[in-house]
Amino acid sequence: MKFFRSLGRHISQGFKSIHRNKVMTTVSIIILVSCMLILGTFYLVITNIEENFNSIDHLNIIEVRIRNTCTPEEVEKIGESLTAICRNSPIITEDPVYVSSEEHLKRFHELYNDQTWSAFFTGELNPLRASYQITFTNFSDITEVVSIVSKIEDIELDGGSKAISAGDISSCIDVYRNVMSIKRTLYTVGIALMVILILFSLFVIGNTIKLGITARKDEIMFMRYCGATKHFIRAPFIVEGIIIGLLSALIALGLEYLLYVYALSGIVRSSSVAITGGEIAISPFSAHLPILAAAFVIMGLFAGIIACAVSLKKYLKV
Amino acid sequence: MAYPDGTVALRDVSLKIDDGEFVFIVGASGAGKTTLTKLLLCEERVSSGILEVNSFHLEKMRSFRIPYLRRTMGVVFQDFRLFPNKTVYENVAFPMQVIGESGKRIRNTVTYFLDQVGLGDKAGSFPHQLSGGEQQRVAFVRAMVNNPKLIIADEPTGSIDNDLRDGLMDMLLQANRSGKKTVIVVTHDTDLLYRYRKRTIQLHKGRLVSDQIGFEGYAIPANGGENA
Repeated sequence: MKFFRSLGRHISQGFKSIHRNKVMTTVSIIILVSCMLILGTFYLVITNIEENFNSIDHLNIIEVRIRNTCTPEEVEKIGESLTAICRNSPIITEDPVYVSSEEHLKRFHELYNDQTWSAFFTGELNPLRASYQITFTNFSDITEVVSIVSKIEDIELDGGSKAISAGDISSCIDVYRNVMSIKRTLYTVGIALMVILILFSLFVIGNTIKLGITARKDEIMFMRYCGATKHFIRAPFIVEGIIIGLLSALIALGLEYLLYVYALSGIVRSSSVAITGGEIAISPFSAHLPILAAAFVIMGLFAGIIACAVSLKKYLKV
Repeated sequence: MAYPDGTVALRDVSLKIDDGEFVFIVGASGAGKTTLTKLLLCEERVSSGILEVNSFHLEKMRSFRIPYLRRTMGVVFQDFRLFPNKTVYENVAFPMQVIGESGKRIRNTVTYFLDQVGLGDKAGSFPHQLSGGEQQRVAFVRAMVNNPKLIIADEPTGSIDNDLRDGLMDMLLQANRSGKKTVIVVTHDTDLLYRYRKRTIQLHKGRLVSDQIGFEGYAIPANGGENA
């Protein structure tokens, strides 16, 4: 009972202290929220990039296209040769899969069903060729896969030439490397910014607590003479730090949602189109909500409690 | 008792104050009165020797026990030190809230004490709305509200007129006589000492130079107390 009475008093004192130092509290919250927004934004951008890379991983498939003039026996022979090669290679995970030209056309129509021009390509006017699909583990192994597959005679790899041009492959790898480089840069910049802002927010929250201690100097002294325990004197300040942290987490979560829905998705979508030349999937905010909420709350509590503890140790002699 | 910088504030002081006594501690500035008060409140620790207050052995007491020692004491300050932003009721209730008393007990006790000193109708007033005498009574009640065994009045008459001084002394004497409280008044107000003939402990340059009933002037030894 006594515990709950004290807890109620600490919470009430914490809110009073926040009201008393509202300017500094606001500054603390703004800085902490900025810190969380940076963390959240970088997390969302990186996660979306990674998720789309996972879908690129699904494209870790090359098509060995077969001339239209090939007889079924020749097609079967090519299949057997490819299977033998694939089974001997550590980077190729599955046996080649045959996809007929009709199947390609069907997929084409599914992909472009909203385009009127796609209707021109029908059974007799099917420009697509049958192929063997070869799946490999990493997108970065594409050069090696092409060089292995190219050893087979009588096939054409993409575009009618004997082999895929070196330029095509290197441009694919370049895209992959560029995005990985962007991801690394984002990580580095994000972490650096976050560390700087966390340190700054610790400093500001610490000063807010210090102001609270100064404002309540007489009260604290009298509390000591009345027999207040260390915990009893310190608890309202800790509560203040926790409130600042939690309030910041809540505000940051709301702003992050708005930012994601109205701004970030637009930016990511347009930049992704520029990079990959295609559509990119933006995951819904709700998918990230639990992780973001947990991260913001932990970060808020961490900053609030640490700053408070340091400030109390430095300025409050009990 | 020596401070970390090497200053010896109290030396060879040996005294016993029994339960229910009324004692003045006097001395000029630098005599060691403040240090003695700090020792009693366990704000400072004795560097050597033994100090027992209200059955707490202060020389070896662990820090977490200090609040429990202080709960057996009430302190009356020179300038009252009422909280200006709290009402009379809140000021008096504060020490009880600090030690976690229940709301009901706080209400009953505060109301009782305020009625006792004639401030029942001023419970909702703020300190600046009270006269000096009323503020003094609030400060006294605030020191009494947790039912302390020992009351320490630190220079209680330093900044008040004679009427207020007499009023405060009456309250302290009443607490001593009727409430069986031990009262220690730390002062350099000689008028007070002449007027109220009580046990008077005199300090000079950190040494105990006199311990007697009544006051007959400062007993400063010829050598300044160095070898007293």
